[in-house]
Amino acid sequence: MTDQPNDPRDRFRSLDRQDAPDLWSEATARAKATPARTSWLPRFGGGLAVAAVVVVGVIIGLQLAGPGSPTPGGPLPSPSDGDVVSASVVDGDYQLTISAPKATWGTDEAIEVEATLKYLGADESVELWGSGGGLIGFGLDEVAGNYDMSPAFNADCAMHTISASEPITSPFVKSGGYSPDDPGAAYWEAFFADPELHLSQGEWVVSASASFDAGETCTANPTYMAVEINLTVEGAGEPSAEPSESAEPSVEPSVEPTPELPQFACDMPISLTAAGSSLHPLLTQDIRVGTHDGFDRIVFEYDGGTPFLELDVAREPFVKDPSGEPMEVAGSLVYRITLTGATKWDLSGDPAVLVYDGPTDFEPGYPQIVQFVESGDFEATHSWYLGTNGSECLRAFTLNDPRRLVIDIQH
Amino acid sequence: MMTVATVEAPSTSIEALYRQDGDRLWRALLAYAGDPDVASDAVAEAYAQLLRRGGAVRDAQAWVWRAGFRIAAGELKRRSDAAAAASTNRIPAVAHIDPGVDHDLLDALAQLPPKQRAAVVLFYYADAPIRDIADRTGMTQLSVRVNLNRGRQRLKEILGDGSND
Repeated sequence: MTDQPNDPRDRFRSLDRQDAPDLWSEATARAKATPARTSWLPRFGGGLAVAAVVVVGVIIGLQLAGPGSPTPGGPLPSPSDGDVVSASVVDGDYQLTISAPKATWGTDEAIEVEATLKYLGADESVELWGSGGGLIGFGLDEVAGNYDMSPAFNADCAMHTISASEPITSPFVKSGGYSPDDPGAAYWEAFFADPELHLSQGEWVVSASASFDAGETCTANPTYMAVEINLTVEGAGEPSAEPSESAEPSVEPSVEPTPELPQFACDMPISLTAAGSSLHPLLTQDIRVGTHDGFDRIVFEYDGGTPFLELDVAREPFVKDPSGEPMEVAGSLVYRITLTGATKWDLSGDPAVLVYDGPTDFEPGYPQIVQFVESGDFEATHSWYLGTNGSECLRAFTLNDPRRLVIDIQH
Repeated sequence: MMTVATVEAPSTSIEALYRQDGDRLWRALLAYAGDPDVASDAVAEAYAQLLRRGGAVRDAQAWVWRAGFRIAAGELKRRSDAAAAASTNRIPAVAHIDPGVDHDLLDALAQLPPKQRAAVVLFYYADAPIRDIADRTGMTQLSVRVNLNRGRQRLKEILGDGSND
């Protein structure tokens, strides 16, 4: 100790001798990629959250403000005043407003809805933490029908700045997922393929929700706000289960899945949202590998849905989850595969049942898959390492009947 | 009338900021987190978020430091929660660190609670005034003073030198 300088600042300056990595390309890649970071997913609870985020009809703790709302005065729906229809709700220092330029639309019209989150407090600005995809989500509910879309938020955590003079405004964003087994799958397939908001004939409740946290993280003190308006859609009497015609190239509704394989992506990470699951972790039924003309393939098979996938380049040290013990992975370029909301254990009974009892360490000697090895199955997060011969381009997608999550590694 | 704001990200000026200040932020986060991976992840993520916001951020440097420290804090908390079940609560041991860096200092920092560590690192390494430390960590200025005072005191006890300014 005696050799060390007495001024703490001098001791801290020794940090300047440390080479810092160049992270600019990593930052730009992340900025372009889907803003989802596995490390922000809360464990187990996160599995639930991710499942809930993408499942149509699952309420994710968002209670539509209505009679009995704890907010001062509750929501303030405005009757159709002139053409504009809007409603607001206030919670503490925040006001959420949803509006549309008119209350009645045609089935062939692109419906315009937007929501604004306003800060009413005394500070110049505040930082709110929430989904990197935005703090505002939207929902739909067909009053006399079966179609509804719950607000969905990415389960990552990002900082958003809001000030009194600069509220956060968002146009209507479609979110959520659907199960191909859903009788309305064709409707939703066409709905999500349409870049604009078209609705079938009928009465619709359109809601906006804000989900954020004013604390240091996204889970310290979450705030949920929601508000809704009613819209009428008039049409020529087409069946309400069919999406309306659009000026955009129409998408033929099809109950049969017509998987069109995505292009290989060379920018990491790759992520896939969960789909068609329930609130319980998905059970892994089978895991297999294969090699094809031009690519090697990994297939995870599940019951009833597919989990949230994050696929990214992994750097040493490779570790087991959750012990953190180091592990060896063969291959010149290694990827980490994280499946949130899935496990190979069925914990619903006593004793627990190992649903998938096949291999968890593959060394098939394929052109690209050198080693594919499980690194953890803990709290509904199933993680793997994939050691390759250097392939930089992969793709991930899902297939149905049975539900499968597929990862292809380009040769 | 619906409007959708699109802001062209001034990525060149953000890159200039990164080239000028990114290493310093990374080293500060290394001292704070004690783990190069956490520092790298926090810096990359903070700049990625800054890039996504483009020109919507008024003071990009202050913003990215704030984001970096909070991202690192979130990661440490996550690790701490995970580690609670694995019987260890210490932040990971420092690895891959240049021998020229004061390892005793890093070890001492690792023994401080996170808020004291953040206050001390920002004060001594980033030369940030109390107001900026509060801004970057989300603490009140009073809390920064308390944590800085205790952190300095604790460092002095651990290092046994004149860490009292």
